[in-house]
Order: sequence, then C-alpha cells, then structure tokens
Amino acid sequence: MRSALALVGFSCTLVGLPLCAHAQSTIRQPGNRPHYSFELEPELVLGPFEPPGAQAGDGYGAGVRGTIEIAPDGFLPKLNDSVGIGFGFDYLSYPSDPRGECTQFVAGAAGTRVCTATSGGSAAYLYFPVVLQWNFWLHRKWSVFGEPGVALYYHRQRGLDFSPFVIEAGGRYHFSDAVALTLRVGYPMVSLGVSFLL
Amino acid sequence: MRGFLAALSFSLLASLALPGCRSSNECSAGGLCACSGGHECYLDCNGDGCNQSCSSMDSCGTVCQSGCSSTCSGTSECSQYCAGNCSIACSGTPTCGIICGAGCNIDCRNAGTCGVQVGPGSTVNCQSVGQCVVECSGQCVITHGDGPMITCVGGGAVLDCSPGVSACGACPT
Repeated sequence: MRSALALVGFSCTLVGLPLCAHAQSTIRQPGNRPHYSFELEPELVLGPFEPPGAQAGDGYGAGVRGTIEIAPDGFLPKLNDSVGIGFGFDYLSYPSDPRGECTQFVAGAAGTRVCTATSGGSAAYLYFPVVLQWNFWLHRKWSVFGEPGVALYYHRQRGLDFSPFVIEAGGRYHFSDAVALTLRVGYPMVSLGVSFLL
Repeated sequence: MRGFLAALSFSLLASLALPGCRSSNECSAGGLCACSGGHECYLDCNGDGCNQSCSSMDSCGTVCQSGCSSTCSGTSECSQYCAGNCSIACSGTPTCGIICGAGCNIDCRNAGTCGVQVGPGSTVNCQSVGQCVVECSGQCVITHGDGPMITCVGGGAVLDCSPGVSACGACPT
C-alpha cells in the first residue's frame, strides 16, 4: 500500500498535480474554463527529431502560433472540451548538420560522378503548420490538447514542400484566465511558449 | 509561489523530455557519422579524421578534406571524395566513384563499376569488380583481378609488377 501511495505521489509530481487534484477537476464541467476566441502563442522551438529531407542533427528556433476557436463546446457534450483551428510559422535552424545534399558533382573515372561538396553544415527550415486543436480543460490551472494536421515547409535545397503528417500534443499551465505557459511535443519539433487567450 | 513551482516543474519536465531522441551523428574528428536507408544522402566532415559510412541507400556519398575513413556498401551509387590521406572502401554496389588525393588506400570489391582517381603514394585494391578503371597521378600501386584499365596520368607506362599487381612510377619493393 505504501509503495502504491509512493507511486501515486511520484506520478502526481511528474504530471504537475492536475490529474490527482480530483476534487478540483473541471473535465466533467463543460464551459468551466477560460473563455476566449483567439489564442496567440509566441514560442521557442527545438528540433530534436530529424526533419524532412536528408538533414539531421538538432535544431532550434522560434515561431508563433495562432488558434481560432471554432467549437467552444467541443465534440463531447459531457466533457469540458473545445476545438480550434491552429496555424503558425516556425523557423528552425540546424547548425551542425553533417548530412545534406550534393551541391557539386565532378566527372570521375569510368563515367562515374563524384560529389565534392555538400550542403551539410547548416540548414534552415520554415514551417507553416495548419492543425485541428482539440482541447481538454482538466482543471482551472491545467489543460491539454492534441493537434493533428498538415504543414507546408520551406527548405533551401528542397524549396517549398508539403508534409501530410503533423501530430502534436501539448499542455498548458494557466497563470490566469488570459495567460498560460504552453508545452507542445510533436514531429518535427518541441515548443515552449506563452499563450495569450484573447 | 505554488504557481511558480508548478511552472518550473512543467519546464523541467519539458527539458527532460528532449534528450531521448537526439541524433547520434557526429561528423567531426574521430566521430562516426552515417547515412543509412532512404533515397539520397551526402556526408561532410566538419574538420579532418571523420569515420563516414553509407549503407542501404539509392545514392550516397562522403566528402572529406583529410584523414577520413569512408565506407559505402549496399548503395546503388556510391560517391567518395577525399583531398588526401584517406582510407576508402566501396563494396556491394553497382557503381563506385572515388576521387582521392595523395596517400590514399582504396579498397573496391564486389562492384559493377569502380572508377578511381588517386594521387601519389596511394594504393588501390580492385577485386571482383566488373569494370575497374584507375587513373593514377604519380606513383601508386594497384592490386587487381582480371582486366583493369589503368592510366598513369602524365603519360608514364603502367608497370606489371607481378600477377595481379600493377603500378605507376615504380613497383613496390
């Protein structure tokens, strides 16, 4: 029993207490949440995953997200959820990327071609994601969301390209009804920003 | 205060979540950097002395200034370039294109075509290759199977040192 309690306590610490504060939960109280029509979120982004194309390594950058609320009552009538359409702009630089595309071929022996210079060394990506944001308002201080969607991205060598697979999940800690700290984890980036619920 | 602590733990949790998915590629001296699987990839070396590897790709290549070890296998088209003093191996691929400067050791085997350009003081080993073409500047030694095409750049004669061993400039002692 003691170990079970310890495990519960540890779990509470990990998730920042919201799920364990059952008495204060708002997930079954539709509408008990900050009311807003637009979420503006400047953010810092990290790229710990390999981006589309031949690039690799770790990236970092910044961006801004915006979400327009389109369904304040969400999809589930008995739960405190809501739905929005999110869009944004993120810049990611991969400064120590050893892999890239060949930028110069020369003729080798026997009709072969040999690459003598690559784009490796640095790379920059611009992302323009468009996602469906499904929010779950767990507590007055905490909310979580999932964001499936798509993205356009621009890369120096590849030009403008399309990624049909964007999947993100995140959580907010609400300092007040209008301001929250927001963590988002997904492919190809992780972000930490401040949300202004306007 | 409680709010600040909660925000701090939230940020800490975020930072702890990051290291698990880091790339292990370190294209710097002594580091292993690799491309494996996929369509196309070209590896550069940030400095000298990288350990570069290409495998299981459509097109793959390595570029190095000096002192690298480069291997390429199971790739439709291998490209390996080094300005000098590199060890280069290419195997199990239809086409190996290799350019290396002085003091290189080249091993090309089990390939359809092996096209090699090397500088002085280099050795080339061509085994089980459909078409082995070697262009050598200065003095170099070529160990080979049947029917290699060897050119000593500058007009020198190709020396038959022993069965399976040819040279530009002088035979090995």
